[in-house]
Amino acid sequence: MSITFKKSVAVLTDQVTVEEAETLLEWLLKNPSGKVNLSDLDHLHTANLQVLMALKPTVSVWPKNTDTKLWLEAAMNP
Amino acid sequence: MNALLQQFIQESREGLEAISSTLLEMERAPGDTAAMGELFRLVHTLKGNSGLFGFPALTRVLHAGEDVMDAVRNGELSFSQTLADQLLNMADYVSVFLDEVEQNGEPGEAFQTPPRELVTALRAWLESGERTTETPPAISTSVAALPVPAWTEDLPEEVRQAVAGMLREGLSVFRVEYQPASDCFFQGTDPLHLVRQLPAILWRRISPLQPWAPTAELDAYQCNLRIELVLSTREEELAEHFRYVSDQVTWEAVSLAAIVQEPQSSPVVTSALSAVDPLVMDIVRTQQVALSACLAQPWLSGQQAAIVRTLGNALSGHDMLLQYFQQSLDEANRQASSTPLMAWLQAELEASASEAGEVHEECSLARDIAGEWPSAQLEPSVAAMQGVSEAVPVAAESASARRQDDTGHVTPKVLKIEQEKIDRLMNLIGEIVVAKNGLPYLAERAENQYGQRDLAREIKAQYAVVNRIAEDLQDAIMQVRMMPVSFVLQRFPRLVRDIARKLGKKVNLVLEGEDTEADKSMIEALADPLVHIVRNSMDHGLELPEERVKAGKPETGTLRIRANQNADHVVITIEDDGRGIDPQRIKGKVASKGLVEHAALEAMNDQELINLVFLPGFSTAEQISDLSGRGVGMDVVRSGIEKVGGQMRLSSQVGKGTQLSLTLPLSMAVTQVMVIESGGQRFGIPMDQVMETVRLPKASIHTIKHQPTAQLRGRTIPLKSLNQMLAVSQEQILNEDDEYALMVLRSRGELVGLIIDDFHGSIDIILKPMVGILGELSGYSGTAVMGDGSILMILNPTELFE
Repeated sequence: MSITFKKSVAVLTDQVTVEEAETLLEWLLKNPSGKVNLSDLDHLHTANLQVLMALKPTVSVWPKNTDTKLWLEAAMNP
Repeated sequence: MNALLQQFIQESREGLEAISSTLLEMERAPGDTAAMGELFRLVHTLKGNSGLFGFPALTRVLHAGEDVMDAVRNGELSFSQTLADQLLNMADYVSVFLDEVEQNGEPGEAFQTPPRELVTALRAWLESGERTTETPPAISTSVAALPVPAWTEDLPEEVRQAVAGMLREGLSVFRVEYQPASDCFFQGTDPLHLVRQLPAILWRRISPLQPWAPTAELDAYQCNLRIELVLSTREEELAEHFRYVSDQVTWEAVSLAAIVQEPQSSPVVTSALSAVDPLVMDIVRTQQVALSACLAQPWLSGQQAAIVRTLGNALSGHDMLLQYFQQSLDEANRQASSTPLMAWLQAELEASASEAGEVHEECSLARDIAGEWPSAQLEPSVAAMQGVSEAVPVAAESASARRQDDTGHVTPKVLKIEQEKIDRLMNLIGEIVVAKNGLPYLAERAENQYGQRDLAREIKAQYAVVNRIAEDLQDAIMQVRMMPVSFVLQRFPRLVRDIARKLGKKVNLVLEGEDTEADKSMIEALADPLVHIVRNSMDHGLELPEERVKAGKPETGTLRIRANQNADHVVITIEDDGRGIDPQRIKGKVASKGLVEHAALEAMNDQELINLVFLPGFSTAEQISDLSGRGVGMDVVRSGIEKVGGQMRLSSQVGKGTQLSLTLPLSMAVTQVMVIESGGQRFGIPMDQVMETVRLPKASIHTIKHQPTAQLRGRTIPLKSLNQMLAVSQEQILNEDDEYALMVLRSRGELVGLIIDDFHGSIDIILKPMVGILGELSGYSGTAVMGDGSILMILNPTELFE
């Protein structure tokens, strides 16, 4: 699993695969004020991106990977 | 060029011919639904085939054509002569494309990108057609076709500068819009991953296609995104990059004018157009309607040229407007499509309608642009435009001339012959083979009955000559029908790759003996079963990489398809090094489904258990997958192979892998049969099933569990009486030594003894399958005509024993 769910933060690391989108969605629904930490994220499958776009959780840390950051910003801060 | 590509070109040419003739037929009878269906099928087949070879341009054009035909077929679009023209243009493009591929083995530079004007023209039909039922078709058509330029406004200034810089350097910049299919995640596509692979992206935006559903109903696996990009690349690269999702991606070249000026364009335009004489406005509006009516025509048709001329004249008194008009015209000329012009007109008119009266100062930016479009640039295009009206009919003429030319003298390198004719030739040759068998009898009679020894010798000599020629003939006709196995094997590398990706497995496909040849009908009969077997192997046989590593195997599985010739048979072996078939699991499965009685199951050995996968109604997959769990079981595969006289053998070792071998006769034309007699009738039994013929003393038959059996070379063989099976009430005849005539036959890998009355020799026959009511009779594979004109029924022991 490349998503670690802490109390109020979901930490997404490395590659987040398509299977994890469901879990991420469920977690965000259960924790409406939950934040996401994308610091060590390299790539996330589009399904996950969609979940983030739809539920707009607060991003506590943006990705260090600049390309990943660019894409996430392009999707989440239109 | 490989054989598959050659076949594709040949088939596509046939398809094109059929498309042309069907189109012409439809022009004569536009309401002919059968012809419409046929046309759709033809275009659909062509498209499907083109996808096999990775010709994105071709696929895209055909896809557009297919959609149009689908709309026509469903009555959403009415068929017209102009539509037929468009479809013929499409056929022409495909034909030129095929020529190119045939000459160079692959499409050249010019054929890497789909022909924009053709695709847009085809798609335009769809858009206008969809709206024919609604009111003002002209206006709404253009709305759908409008490339709303909102994105340019959202471009940050630095991106705008960068794009402008690149354009001035002569680099091409594209704006790409990718709307992934909503079920794309299930097809293994990761749109974000796909676009991330693109180089030199200047700007990007991802937005929802439709408003997000309420959070509770949100489906993470329903893609609802629009991905927009601005990047500097070559169009061919875009086409190549998005070749698998070409129907979901659109792109347009970004022009300098669009990037620098458009944010301000609408206010400027408003002021410009609202200051214009209402009469001129009216003319412009009329032209817009006229243009939308001929959107589908190839740029620049006579009608379009006339519209352009009228617009030019009407706007001649308004410098700013004329200049914008000129810019959109240039773009239209560049793209060879009326869409940019249409878009401009639409934007102008809308702006003037909604914001009439608002007067804006011309901004400095717009003036800058005006400076960048010196009149020197405009003049040539005006001149070109004036020349165009004369040039158009000529171009159209030459196009139609070319079309006639194409059908006029085609010089085929390969002679195409209908299979029927070959079949007839083969039947005739077969008859010679059988008829010549009468000559030795004649020689015998000449000698014994009439005492003509010399004549008999001469007849025999003649027979030898006829025999040699007949055999050569038979050989030659076989050669005509022979095809290399590679014809079916070639599709597998791609298939295996795609399936492997879908399943997340690593597979190395090894093909061996691709040039082994067999009869065309055999090769064709092989295609479907092979695909099914390979899918099965990949789905159920080979494990996931992690599982393989855990089992101490290399991460990448090996799938080997080997073809070789063994006497007069082709043997195809499909081998994987996957998890193998577990006989105990099969046993449990069969028991739970109640397919076989419990006691019988217990008595089976491992091999017999494995063979149970051939039982109708058996499927080992726990889950119905979209790959092999479609309800087509191994029983169907086996009966497909057996229908053409083949056999299938399955062996497997748990943890080591599975091996399936298909044995097929090289050709079905001439079959060797053993003639036997039973109940006073003669029958033929295919020689390749006959293992041996023995005389069996009556005393050595033992009955075990009501089943007569005999010990033969240490094996217990079940015995069946042919008379009994055919419901003939006579007992089988014993010879003077109280022995039965017994034929040991191999049926599905097992030996069965068939008791008959007497043996006769073996002969070559041409097997004719039975037709009509008789065709449904099981137990017989067909009939043959004997040398003396009598009919011989050929038995199918496998069916008989079932």
